[in-house]
This record gives sequence, structure tokens and C-alpha cells, in this order.
Amino acid sequence: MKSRIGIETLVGLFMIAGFACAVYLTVKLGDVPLLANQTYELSALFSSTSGLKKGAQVEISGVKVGKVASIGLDPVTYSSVIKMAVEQNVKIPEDTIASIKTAGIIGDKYVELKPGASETYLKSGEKIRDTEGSLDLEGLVSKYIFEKKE
Amino acid sequence: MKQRYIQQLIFFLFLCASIITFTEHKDVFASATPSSLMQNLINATLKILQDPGLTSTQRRDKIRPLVYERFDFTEMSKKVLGANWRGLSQQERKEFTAKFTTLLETSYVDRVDSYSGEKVIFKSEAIEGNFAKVDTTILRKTIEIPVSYRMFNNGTSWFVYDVYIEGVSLISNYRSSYDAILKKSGVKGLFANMDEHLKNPRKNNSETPH
Repeated sequence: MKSRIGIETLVGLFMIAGFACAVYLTVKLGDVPLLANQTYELSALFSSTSGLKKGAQVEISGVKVGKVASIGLDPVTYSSVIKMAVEQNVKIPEDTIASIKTAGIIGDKYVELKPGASETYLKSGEKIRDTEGSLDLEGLVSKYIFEKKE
Repeated sequence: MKQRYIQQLIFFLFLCASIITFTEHKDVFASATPSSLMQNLINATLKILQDPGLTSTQRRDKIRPLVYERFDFTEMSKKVLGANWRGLSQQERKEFTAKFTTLLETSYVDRVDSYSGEKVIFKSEAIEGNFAKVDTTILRKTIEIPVSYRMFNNGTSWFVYDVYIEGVSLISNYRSSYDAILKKSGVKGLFANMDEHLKNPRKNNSETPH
């Protein structure tokens, strides 16, 4: 009788350990912001964010400092509005330039921040004023092919 | 006692008058919109470019003061260096501003000779607080080149701090390349690089047909 209780406790503990592992893996692999650093939100208006996906990286000098939280459309100007979750310990000067870049030639799109010289830092909910949208390579190539023909 | 009272009254009235004059003065400047200022600058520049009686040196000499009046090169220099600006001494900042201004001048104002009948169309203006965006298009034969001017208001008037050509920012472009040079070879390396470009201003333009 005594040994049976012992086995049941062992099974119970094993189950708990199994559940704990499952929870840990879900949080870790699913990128659930439970263990992530505290972030604050910044927005930016782009002429085009073609190819940029929600969750894309936000980088400064190649170092990840946040990610794209949402991508939407401005109802007035029809520009693309993105919201970024930036790590709390990274201060962004107000004259920072945000550009949409591609990792490699055909890699994923990401947002690169080039910090400015200002001593005023952006607060949560504020907007990055200077932005460069995705470069329309096909458009540029066709433009210069036509120019050459003349 | 009475004399002192009158003196104080006169001083007070003078103060009021100067405040009113200053505010009115400010309003005169404020009434000039960013796009009207850019329109004036571009029209004046085009007029000089289209004048057949001028030599290219005369054209440059006439265009230069117009550009200097509307472009804030100190602000541009600060923005170009970005976070690196804070690490420079006053002397280095001055030196960089002087070099960068000359570099922009040699790269852009010296291009007056390549003018071939381009037209400029004003598209839109957007003001947000002390910042403004003026969108224009340069018409070159059948090709349209979008050029956007970013301006800021320093309390008296609007000044250009960045130019976007085909959606690519001039400041952002220089910020990336100068940041790389600064990280690799420091301020001295950057100044040496800029001197090199200033010595061979035509090096980068050798492919242009003019």
C-alpha cells in the first residue's frame, strides 16, 4: 500500500515536470512576451512598407532593439503606419531616421534606426518623424531604362 | 518722485511696443509658408539657370547665396553625424560643418552646368508643429524625379534640413557612410576622407555626360 502511494506521487511529480517543460517551451519558442524585456511603443509613417511583416526586427547598428508590433494604413494620407515595441533601456533621440531595409539581397525586411544628435529622447507613443520607405527597385530600374532610350 | 514714475511708465510703454513689434515681425515671417519659400528659391534658381547671358561661374555665384539663405548647413551637419556629434569637441564640430558645407556645395551647386531644361512642379505641403515637408517633382524630359524637402521652423523662418530624392534621404545616406568611417578610423579619418573628396570633386561625377 505504502509503495503504491510512492509510485503515484512519483507519477504526479513526473506529470508536473512535463507540464512545466511544455509551458517553458511554449513561452520560449512562441515568443510570448512573458519573459521578454519591458518595451515602449514608437510609431512611424512610411511612404511604403512593402514586404515588412509584423514581428520584423527593429535594429540599431545590426543589434536588435525591438520589433514591429503592428502595420496599418493612415486613413488620410494612405501612408503606412507602423508601431514598434522598443526595449525600455534603449533611448531613441527625436531626430532618429527610421529606414526599411532588406537583410541581404532577397532577405527579410527589417526596420533600421539611425540615432540622431538630439538630446531630446522619444517617449512612449511618440512618432519618429524622418523615415525612408522600402526602395522600389523595379520602379527605379524601369525609370532609368526609359531614360537611357532617349 | 513723479519724474521717476513717468520714467517707469515710459519704460513700460517701450517694453510693450517692442513686444508688439516683435510679435508682428514674427507674424510676417510666419505667414511665409514653407512651400512659398521653396517656390521662391527654386523659381529664382531656375531663372538664373535659364539666363543665357551668364557664365557658369556667374551662375554659381548667384545661386550660392540663395541656397545658403534657405538651407541650414549647421543643422544638416549635426543631423549627418547623428549620435557621433555629441562626442565631438566644439572645434571638431566647426571643422566638420565647414567641410561638409563645402562638400555639399561642390557636389550639388557645381552641378549647375548639367542643367538641361528641367522643370519643377510643386505637389504638396504638410506642416506638423515646427516641421514641414514640401513635395516637388523634377520633370526631366519625360522622367519624373520626386524630390521632397524637409524643413524646420527656428522661430523666425523655415529652413531646409534634409532633401529626399526618390525617397532616399540625403542625411540618412551620409549618416550611414560617415558613421562607418568614424567607427573605423575616428574623426581624423573622416576629415581625411572628406578632404580627399574635396580635392577630387569630379571623381564621383565622371560618368555624367556634361
